Amino acid sequence: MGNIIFIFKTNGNYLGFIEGGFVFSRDGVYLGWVDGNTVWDSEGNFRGVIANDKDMNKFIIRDRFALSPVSRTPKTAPENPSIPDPPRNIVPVSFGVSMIDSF
Amino acid sequence: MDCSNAVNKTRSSIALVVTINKKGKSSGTGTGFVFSKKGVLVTCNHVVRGAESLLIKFPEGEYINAKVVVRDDEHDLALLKFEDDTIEPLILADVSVVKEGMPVVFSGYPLNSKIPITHQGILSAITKDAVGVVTYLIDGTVNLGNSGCPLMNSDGEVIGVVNATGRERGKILKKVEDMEFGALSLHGVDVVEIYTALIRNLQLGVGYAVPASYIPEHKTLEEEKNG
Repeated sequence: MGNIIFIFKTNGNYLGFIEGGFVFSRDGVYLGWVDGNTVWDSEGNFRGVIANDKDMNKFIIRDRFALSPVSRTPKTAPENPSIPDPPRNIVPVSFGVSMIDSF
Repeated sequence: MDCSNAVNKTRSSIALVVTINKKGKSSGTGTGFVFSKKGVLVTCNHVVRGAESLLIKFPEGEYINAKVVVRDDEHDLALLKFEDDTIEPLILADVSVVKEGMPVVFSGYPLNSKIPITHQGILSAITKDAVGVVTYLIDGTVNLGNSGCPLMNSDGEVIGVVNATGRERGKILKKVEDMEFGALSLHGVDVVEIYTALIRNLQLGVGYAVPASYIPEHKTLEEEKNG
């Protein structure tokens, strides 16, 4: 199993994980991929950016008032990953009124 | 605004782009225009994405083959090459003339039209998308098929490339668009046809365009102009 990054929703619930640059749900369903700090979904649509809270927990959020970039060519879904044991949920966070969860 | 001068100058350089699928049938249409040099057509990447082959047709010509030579996923642009050196390229506008509120005109082949149709509007906003790409918002009638239109000033000089439906389609709309007619019916009524008609007839009066500076060949042109 490679380097795994856990992703949370802003309400503190565990959302899924990133492995090898691909984003998966907690059940291992392919959600999209990461390019730099930007996240694209499985159909190539822009979904948001990766953000950290003060404890360096990771979130995928987007500015609901920002113009979405043009869609990218979708990436082929990777092979099913090994599903990690889910971490505990965390304390809810807020990134400001315009920032919402991407997934 | 009187657009007749712009239309007359540019009409013959704006082509219908038809995508052909693996079954050899037309799978979609868009617009393209000759830009930078003869034999090179600019269009949107999403127009030609997934096409097995391409045909283009200028107003006074027949369908001819074209081939994708450059794809720019980030700015949704593509360059096609075609064999016809009689069509003149459109001219690039001076970047300094591009201002919010300026009148704009765009000609293309929306709604399965086989003749170029011209619309006018204003450049509503010059903004950046969430990844920092400069985007023009147009207040004008942008429809399916307008993707790849040259966005021009009133002199017919190119300031951008109209990108009609390259974003915010959403998963549900895309699923319906990808369905075959008749795939879903309700009480004998073809739901896919209804949805597709609704989607195609949506007129929001707002469009998007990418600045001409993102066209891959633009830098060469600027250098030539500055001489």
